[in-house]
Amino acid sequence: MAAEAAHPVDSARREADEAKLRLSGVAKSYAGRRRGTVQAIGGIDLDVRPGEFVSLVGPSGCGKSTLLYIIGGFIGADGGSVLCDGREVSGPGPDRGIVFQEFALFPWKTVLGNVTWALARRGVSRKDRPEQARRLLSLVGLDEAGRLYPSELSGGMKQRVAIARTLAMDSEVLLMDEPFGALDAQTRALLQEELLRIWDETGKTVLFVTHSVEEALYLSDRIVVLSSRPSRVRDVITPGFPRPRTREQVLADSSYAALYERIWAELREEGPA
Amino acid sequence: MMRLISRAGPLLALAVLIGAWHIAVSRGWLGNPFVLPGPGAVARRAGDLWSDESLPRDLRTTLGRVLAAFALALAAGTIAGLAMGRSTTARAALRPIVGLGFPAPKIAMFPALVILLGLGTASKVALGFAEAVFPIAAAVAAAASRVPERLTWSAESMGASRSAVAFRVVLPSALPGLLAGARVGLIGAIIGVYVGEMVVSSDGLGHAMVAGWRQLDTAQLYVSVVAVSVLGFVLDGLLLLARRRLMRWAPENASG
Repeated sequence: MAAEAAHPVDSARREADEAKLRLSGVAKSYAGRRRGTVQAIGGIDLDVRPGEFVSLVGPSGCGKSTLLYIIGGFIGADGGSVLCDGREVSGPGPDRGIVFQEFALFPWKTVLGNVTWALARRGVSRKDRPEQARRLLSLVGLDEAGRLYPSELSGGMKQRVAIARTLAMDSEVLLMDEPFGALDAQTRALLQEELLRIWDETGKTVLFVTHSVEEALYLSDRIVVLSSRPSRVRDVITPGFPRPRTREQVLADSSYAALYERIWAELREEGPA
Repeated sequence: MMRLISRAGPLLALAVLIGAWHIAVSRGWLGNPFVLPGPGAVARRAGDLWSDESLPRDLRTTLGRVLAAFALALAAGTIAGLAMGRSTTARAALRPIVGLGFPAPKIAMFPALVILLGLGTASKVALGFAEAVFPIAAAVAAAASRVPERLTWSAESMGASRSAVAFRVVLPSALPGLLAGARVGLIGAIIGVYVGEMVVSSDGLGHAMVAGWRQLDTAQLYVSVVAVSVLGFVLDGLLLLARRRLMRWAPENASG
């Protein structure tokens, strides 16, 4: 395994501050279909450092999206706590932006309108909104699409708009719920590269849920492997590929195949939840 | 050519209907023309009533009442529907009211409305409102409860207040359902006002209908019926026009 100390940039980032997100004993159960309760999340501890890119992988149905929604404050946990910048999370808030697999754009607003909506909630003055929205759209590579409605866009363009809208919140934490899961392979690869560029330019802390081991390895500083239900942290992997990185470099790295096989072996062992 | 036929189709169908009406009456198939006068007689009577100012006056009176009833029902139905669709407390409180009120025959309340609100406009507006508000509330409630969770979550994470989520996310998202309910509600408002005018009134199209009946002036009766139907047709057309403007964002299959 690649050693952490071999990459001074990463370790500098890590030592910079204390946890941006701190999960302690987060647990969640829900009412079973017939009777009793099903424990979905069985107590998760995790620290995410400022500026870190952390991926959550796990067998399907293990509750990784649920965990992300708990961190987002959209659903409550039954036990444990989530701290963001040391403050207890008790509901959704603009300190934690979220991007969903389903894009969740406002279909009655244009591309520009979707982004200015977020700017307005943040209190940006009416006259500064169009300029800032255009800058954000340009950051995600959509300079020309401002006047279109979401129904006129491809899946990849929709997700670019959703990312621009979330960036408009200017939150330091970005929660991403399988954001590229609904896209074709080529669009997905392009957006992964763009996300890394944006992450590099903005210095956000990213918590990224994915099904794809390749995606997690290419993007992440750390990969958290969850067990099947009730999910716990099974393994934490620090790939340590150099940054800035290209896909070719990552694939050609001597440790890639071993890491890939290790994560897959763990997922296979957990089986479907 | 096909396009011309499809455009002229509705007019053609109307012409066939009126033609059949005319032939049936003139051949005596419908019995005494006093019971159902032909289209010519009804049109002549409409001309008389138009030139002696009574038809325009009745139209204005009924139109004003319908618009008032519809506007009040749209506001109240939308608020109640949003509350029912988004809050379990409001749903628990309002569902029995809507569930019982929707099928109840509103005309049964009309004597009470007249005693409460008098013989004038207010009691007719109230009856029109009662007919219109339930379909609107029910449609908005159904649409509001189906708004994708991810949309409201996104808005909440951006720091939107509860009322911003309700009026800037749930309401526009529920707009297709709201407009469908509004079309049904509009027809309800017309029926409520017209029936109210038929029962107790000294003006309006409903009153003209009953007056024609009492004075054995059946042509006037049918002038009133045709006038209120045309009024409904035109108002519904305006609502469809408004929908097309408001729903420009929707993909074509969803706006139909």
